Amino acid sequence: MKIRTKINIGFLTTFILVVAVIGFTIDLYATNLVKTNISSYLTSSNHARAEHIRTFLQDQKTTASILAAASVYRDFLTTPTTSSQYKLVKDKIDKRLVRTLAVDTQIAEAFILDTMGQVVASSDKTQEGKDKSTDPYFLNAQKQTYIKDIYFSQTTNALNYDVAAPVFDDNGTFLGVSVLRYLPNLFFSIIDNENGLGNTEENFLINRELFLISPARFLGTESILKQKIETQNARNCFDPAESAYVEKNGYSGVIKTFGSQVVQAKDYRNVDVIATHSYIPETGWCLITKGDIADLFSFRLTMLLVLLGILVTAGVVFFIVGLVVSKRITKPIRLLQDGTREIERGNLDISIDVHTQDEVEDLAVSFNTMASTVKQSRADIEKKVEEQTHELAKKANELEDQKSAILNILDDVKKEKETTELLAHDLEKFKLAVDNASDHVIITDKEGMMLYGNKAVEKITGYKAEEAIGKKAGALWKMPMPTEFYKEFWHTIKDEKKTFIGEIQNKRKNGEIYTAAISVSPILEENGDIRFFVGLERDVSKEKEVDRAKSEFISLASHQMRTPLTAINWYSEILLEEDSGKLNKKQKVYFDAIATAGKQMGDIIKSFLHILHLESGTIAVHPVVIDIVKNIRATIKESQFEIEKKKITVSENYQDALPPLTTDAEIVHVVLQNLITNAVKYAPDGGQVDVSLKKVAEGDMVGEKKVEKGALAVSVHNNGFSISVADHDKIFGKFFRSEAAKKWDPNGNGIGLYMSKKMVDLAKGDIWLESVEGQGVTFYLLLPLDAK
Amino acid sequence: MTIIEPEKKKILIVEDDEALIPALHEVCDKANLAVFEAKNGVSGIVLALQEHPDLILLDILMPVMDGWEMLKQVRESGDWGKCVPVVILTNLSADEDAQIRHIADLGPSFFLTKADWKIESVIDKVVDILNTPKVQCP
Repeated sequence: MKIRTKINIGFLTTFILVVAVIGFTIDLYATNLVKTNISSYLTSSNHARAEHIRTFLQDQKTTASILAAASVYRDFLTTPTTSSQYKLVKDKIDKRLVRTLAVDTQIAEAFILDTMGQVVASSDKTQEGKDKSTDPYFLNAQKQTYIKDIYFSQTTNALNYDVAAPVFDDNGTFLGVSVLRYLPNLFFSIIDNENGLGNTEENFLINRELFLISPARFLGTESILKQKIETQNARNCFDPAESAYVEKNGYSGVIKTFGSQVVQAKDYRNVDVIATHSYIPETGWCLITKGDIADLFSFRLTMLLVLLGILVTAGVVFFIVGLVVSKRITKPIRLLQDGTREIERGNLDISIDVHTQDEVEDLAVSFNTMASTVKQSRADIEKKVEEQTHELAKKANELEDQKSAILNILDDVKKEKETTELLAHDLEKFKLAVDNASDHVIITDKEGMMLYGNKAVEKITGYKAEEAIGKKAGALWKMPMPTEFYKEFWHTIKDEKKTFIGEIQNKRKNGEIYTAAISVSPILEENGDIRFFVGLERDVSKEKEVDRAKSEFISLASHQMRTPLTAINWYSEILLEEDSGKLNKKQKVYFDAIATAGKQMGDIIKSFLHILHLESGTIAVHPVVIDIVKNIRATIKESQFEIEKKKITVSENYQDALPPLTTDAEIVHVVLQNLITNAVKYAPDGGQVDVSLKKVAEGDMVGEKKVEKGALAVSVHNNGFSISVADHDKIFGKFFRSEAAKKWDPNGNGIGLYMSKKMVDLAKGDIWLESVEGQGVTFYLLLPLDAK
Repeated sequence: MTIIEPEKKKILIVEDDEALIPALHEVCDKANLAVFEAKNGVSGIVLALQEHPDLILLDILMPVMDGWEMLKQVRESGDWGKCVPVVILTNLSADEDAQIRHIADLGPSFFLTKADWKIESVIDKVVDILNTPKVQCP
């Protein structure tokens, strides 16, 4: 679509929208205003007319009662027909009646009823003597004035209504009724008066039975008393509450009490009208005033037509102005468009001439610049293309060379592939072997994410390897362990890149908890980065169970053995005291032997129990500050008997000003005891034992070992037989005894050093030995300053 | 009926091992103590409440009622029971969990392993305790 068209349509649409909104608003407002005016007009006109009718009726009632009070009436009704006066009185009343008719032309007949309801005198002599005792004007007018509804009289052959008034004597005795029969013509002219509101407005009266009792605009007089008016107004009018209110208060306040009486409804012609009503209490009639809606609102159509006229005229003006304006705006744009088309066709020599002194002129200038730039670039590009074509030809030759080189490489790659396939084949074999291993084997990436698990994974944990792969290793089956454990674990395998060996508690799929011995090793890349972790896990629950049973057995057995041993020890002790009798020399030697054997046995049992607790991990370390020198001295003293017996020289060498040592007293005592008794035991008669103690710092050498952190170092040397290097580690194993030791003393039990090593580990210390052929043995004990 | 010299301290030995009673009795006599004997926890508690000894030497593993149960009842029996010094004399190991718990709960003065202690040392310990002025008990 052209910009011009767009501008025009835009203008027009906006205009129509604005006018439509304004028109709609005006119409709505005007309609409302008129509606209110019509309502109020209808109401006031209706009320005014109703008041007029009421006054008129009241006047006639007053006239009737004044007439009835005249002495002529009384005299006539009190004079019996038999009286000599009667004729005179009758004559007088007849004249009065005739005169009454003459005074008011609306009165068609005037007559008098006696107390029995008989017509005793009338302006129409034919009526005299007739019985009217059942007529409403006789029945209702015995106490007060009464107006009888409009009816069609056979007598006058016209529509009539009667105003009747009672006649009383001076004492208030009822004498008869005076009736004035009216023609309704004057009355109708009051109702009929037009209000000047259009061609359809009208007023009419209806009676209580809803029959029309006055002429209606659209019905002839013949409809009176025949047409029933059953509209909403008619119903409202005779509402008992409303009629009672009007009777009492008139019309003021009736709207306030009962709401607007103006209604929109269908009238007797079935035409939409606006109507209102007033109740006439004097006669129980209802005055209805109404007009056709179409008529009352006819102005609306006129108004809309005027608006439409304005709209069309203004629209045309706008359209013409728009055409002119848009043509001016779009002309330079069209010039630009033409220029662009020229360039499309390849004509780069174009220049556009626009002088609008606005953005369009700027655009035109830019356009001209662009055209010349494009012309320049095209020339450049052509030159470059030529150059590059040349270059390409050169490259094509080089490519040919490279192609043959790549073919050579491909040949190499093929060979490499064959090698890899062979490797994969080997791996497959390895996998087969591992798959069926009885230990649980898993491989994880360097983040611990599981990549592989063998069949034993399911056998041990109950989880299929496939369930676990892709999750963190052990995520499915591990139990919470202390933070230190994990710290130590990751430190070993990730930072130190060493194999971690330990024991953990796991939970099988079925909920059963088991103990597993694990070994996790990092697999490193050539550059030392971690590539995988390989974890081996063995279910050691059964072994643990066996261990526990063993421990229980040893614990019980020890107690059972100790009980008789106690008796042996105590009684040999008592006997040796000689309180219970002197012993001879031989007896003394024998009891001594018993006592010594008993003590040894006690020591063995104690050692067994120590090992038991060490192995089951139930020994707790209770670090306290101890005096290590005092401890060593006391321990040496315990072996004093042996030292003296073997004539061994003990040299003690303790450094001064040692820092306080915080460690488990019992552990230190057991270890020192083992080292010193061993040194004495394996030293030759007359041999040498050297005990020394010093403080060492990080980096210091103790024997051939470099110290890793501050500690106290104890060394115990004897000049006995040396121990071969092969046995240096084994000697700390359970029940291990070196060949030399066995020869020297066949009675050793091989648990002392095992127990010592375990205890030193608990105290976070270190113990080892060094031995040079021909120079005896030195045991070293390192105790950290604080074992916490 | 044993006539007890007023200055003699009373010791109650609760021990089921017949072999050991004479030995203990003898050393106690030597140490000039008035000795009462019971062979299980039930007779032990009866004698203890009747005689209010100055110290109880108590075995653990005994028929009818063990030493810990008896000690518990003694501790709950009243002021005397709460404070009376008790030396446990047994061949059970002090480092077993069950024993450690009882030691913590019932507060015996010593826990001695029979096989590791000379009888002389046991009685020295007893005399030591008896001669120590009573500190306020818990």
